[in-house]
This record gives sequence, structure tokens and C-alpha cells, in this order.
Amino acid sequence: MRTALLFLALALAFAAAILLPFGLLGAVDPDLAWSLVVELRLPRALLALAYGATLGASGAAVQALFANPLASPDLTGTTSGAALGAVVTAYLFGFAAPLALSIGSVAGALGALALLLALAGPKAETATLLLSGLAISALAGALTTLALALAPSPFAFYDAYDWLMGSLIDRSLDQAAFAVLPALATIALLLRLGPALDRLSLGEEVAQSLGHDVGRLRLQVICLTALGVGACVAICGAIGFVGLIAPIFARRMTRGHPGRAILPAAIIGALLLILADLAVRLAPLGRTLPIGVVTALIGAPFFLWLVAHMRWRLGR
Amino acid sequence: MMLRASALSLPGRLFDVSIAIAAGELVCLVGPNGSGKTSLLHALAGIGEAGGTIDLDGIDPRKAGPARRPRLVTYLPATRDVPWPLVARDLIALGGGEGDFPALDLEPLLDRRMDRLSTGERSRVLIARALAPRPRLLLLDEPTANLDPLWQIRLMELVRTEISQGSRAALVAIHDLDAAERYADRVIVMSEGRIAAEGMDQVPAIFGVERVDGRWEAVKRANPRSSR
Repeated sequence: MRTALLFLALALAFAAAILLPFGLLGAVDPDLAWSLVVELRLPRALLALAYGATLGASGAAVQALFANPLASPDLTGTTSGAALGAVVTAYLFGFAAPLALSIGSVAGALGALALLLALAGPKAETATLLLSGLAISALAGALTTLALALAPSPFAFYDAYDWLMGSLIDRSLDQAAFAVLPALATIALLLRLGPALDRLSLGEEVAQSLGHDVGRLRLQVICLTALGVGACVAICGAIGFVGLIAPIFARRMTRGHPGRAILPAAIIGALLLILADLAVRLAPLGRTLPIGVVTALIGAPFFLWLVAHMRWRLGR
Repeated sequence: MMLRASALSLPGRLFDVSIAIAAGELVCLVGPNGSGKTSLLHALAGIGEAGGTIDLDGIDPRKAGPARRPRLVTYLPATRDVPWPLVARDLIALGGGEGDFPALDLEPLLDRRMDRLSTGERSRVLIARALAPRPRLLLLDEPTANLDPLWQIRLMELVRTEISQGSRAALVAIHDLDAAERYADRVIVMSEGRIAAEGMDQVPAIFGVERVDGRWEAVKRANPRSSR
């Protein structure tokens, strides 16, 4: 029931993203209005939908996997790793086609997650997990800057800046497809892991005794997260905090079940990003804010509040 | 029900352990720290990659998937920490079974979150999770730890009642030698990753304790238990 309501809210937000500001569509001739919708607003809304949903779903899955509500694609360094992969591919290797960017980005995300698992281990305490994620983010950020500095193009920094801060603007439908299709595949496959991730909340040993292959489950979550997040970062840059916040709200609808929360987390993530992008577009600032700045402005205070209220952890 | 496991081994932990348990049996597993009790339970529960064969009524439970496994074997770990704070009722349901155990008096606990329960209350919920699927073989690691004396008695009597219904059995790792002697049909003594003895006769040699006037005391001799 509440999931249906969430779906409805998402549909409304998506419609708003396509139609608002409405007056503009009526003011121009129908052909121009049509191309405005199809070439500008539709790819942008689809990207917000797919990216937000991927962040929500993979955030929920990663939180379930690490049994930690602060594990999210950005705080684990996954998005930074993906950004590094895309920058290296584009500026050092010179492959700027969307597919090449996606592959580089997915590889970067995978590398960051593998490094996190090696550094912090699968049952990391919150502090270890956050510090490892921080270290990986810092390293990936520094290497990204280094790659841009070493890039043959002297304009690399300026080119990359908008994208690095997260942007849904000026992508064609074709480009958007390179993010949207892997994102939808990721979400569909993550949803199938929900029951196993719920069982994992009983503890790794108990999950194994119930017949789940925990090693394979871990590998699946990590590869899928890298695929979805990597593909979205390649097209839209790094957008933070949605993957942290959406699952936390989603679990309020699933009596705390981390696996069952994947679907509502995907919807909430999509909703958050569409609304954030609407705020960017409709804000009367006279210029465009990067959407990553908006999500960080909302998400960072929430994150601080969360850290202050982490006393619910058991025995840690 | 009949369990026959043979040549169970896990490098450094478990060496060629064979064990048979018949229907209705409550077998207690005792042994010093590090003697392989938990490793044996893990091997039988399909946790980790132990070698050897397991035959539970013609089935290797390790090959059964999540739908069938809880009806064959369930495992209660020794830890009472739960990594994720679920509501008690949901935690029991996730174990793959349902059912009420009046003997555990769960009613006041069911709608509370695990992290808001005391350790003893958590124990009762976790035990109910292992019992609820009504498995053929119950593997319990220190089920009485953290329970007060009355709950310890109630719990072991509940396990006894459970396995007497249908064709079922229990293997219980336990440190309390008195409890092992009192509740078990058979006591198996482990030492250094092997089954060292059946029954309590070898306890002084293996544990370095002996019963003096009804109490366990350290064996008084030059080197009661080789230091590890």
C-alpha cells in the first residue's frame, strides 16, 4: 500500500519534471515544445529517475551487506572510484565514447569496492568502514585531479568540473540510455537478492546455515553496485548522499528489513533526485547549481545527525 | 531420523571426526576451549568448507537450498549479538519457521527490537529462531549461556520435549559439565579437533578437573593440563 503511494508520488514528480515550467511549453510553437520535452527534459528526468533509483537500491544492498546503515555508494568511495575510472578513460586514454566511459567507470567502482572489502572486511565496525571509505575517496579524488593535471588537453579541468560535481544537463536520449539501461538491470537483479540480504541480517554464520552462499552474495552485491553506480557516474558524475538517505527512510516501511527495503529505497532515491533536480531548475538564482551540491547540502546535515544517533548499534 | 557424518575435517580445526546421532537423542558436546566443538557444529550446519560426508536420512543437508535447509538442520551460534536490529517476531520468521514456544514466554518480547532486549531475552528469541522451523537436527552452541538457572532448566527441558516430537535429535555444545551430564543421553568429549571420548570418564584427563565432594575442582597433580 505504502509502496503504491510511493510509486504514485514518483509518477507525479516525473510528470512534473517533464512538464514544469508549464508556461514555456505553451508559449512556443508545438514542434519546439515537443523537442524541448524529448531532447532536453525527458533525458534529464530519466537520468534523475535511474540514477536516484540506482543509488537508493545499491545503498540499501550495501548497507545490508556490511550490516551498517552508514555504508552507501558515496561513503564507501564507490562513486569516487567510478569518477576516477571515467576521468582516466576519457582524459588519459582518450576514449570519450559513452560505452568506454561506462566501462572505465564501472572498473573504477569495482576497484574501490574491492579495496574497501580488503581494507575494512565484510563485518567492519562503523569507524573502520567510514575511515576506509574516506581514505579511498581521498585517494580516488587525488588521483582524479592528478589525471586531469596530466591530461593532454589544457582545458581538462574546466571540462570535467561540471561533470564531476554531478550534472544531468545536456545529455541526449542516446547518452542517457548508457546510464538508464545498466541502472534498471542493476535494480532488477538487486531486488532478487532481497530475501538473502534479509537472512544475512541474522548474521553471516546463520545465513550460511540457512543455505545461503554468503561469499557469492557479497560478490553479487558488489558487482551489481559497481555496474549501476559506475554506469550512472560515467554519464552524470558523482552525486552524493542519496544512497545514504533513501535506504534509511525505506527501512521505516519494512520494519527494518534491509533486503525488503531495496524496492522502496529505489523509489525514494529516484524521488529525491527528481525533486533535487526540479529544485535546481526552478530555483530563482539566475544560474544553474550542480545537482550534487543540492544533494550534499541536504544530505550532509542529515549524515551528521545520523552519526550523532548511532547508539543503536549492538555491542559496537 | 539418523545422522551419520564421517571424516569431517577442517585444516587446523577438525581432524577426521565421525559422529552418528539417532532419532530422539540429545547429545552434548563438551571439551576445553578450542577443542573443536564449534567447528564440528559449523561443519554439520554447512558453515565454511569442511571436508567429509554428511548423511541425514539419505540427504546431505549442505546441498539443500534456503527453502529446504531449515527443515533439516538449524544452528544457534554462541554469540548473542545480532548484526541488525530487527523486531524479535521478524527475526524468528526470517529463520524459516513459525510457532510459539510457551516455555520460552516470548509474548512480551515479540514486538520489541532486538537491541532493546537484555542479553538473556535476546537468547530466548534466538533460540526460538532455531527451534521454529522444527528441524530434524538441532545444532545449539552454548544455548544456556546468559540464561539464569531457571531459564537454563526450562530451555533444556524444552529441547528435550521438542526432539521427542517426531523424528528429531539435538547436538548441543556446552561448557557446563553438570548440565551435560544431567540432560544428555550421551556426552561426547572433544579435544584438539578430535573426538576424544564418549562419557564423562575421561573428563579429568582432558579438562584437568575432577569432581571432589560433588564439586568440580582442578586436578591436583604436577601438570594437570598442558598449557597451550
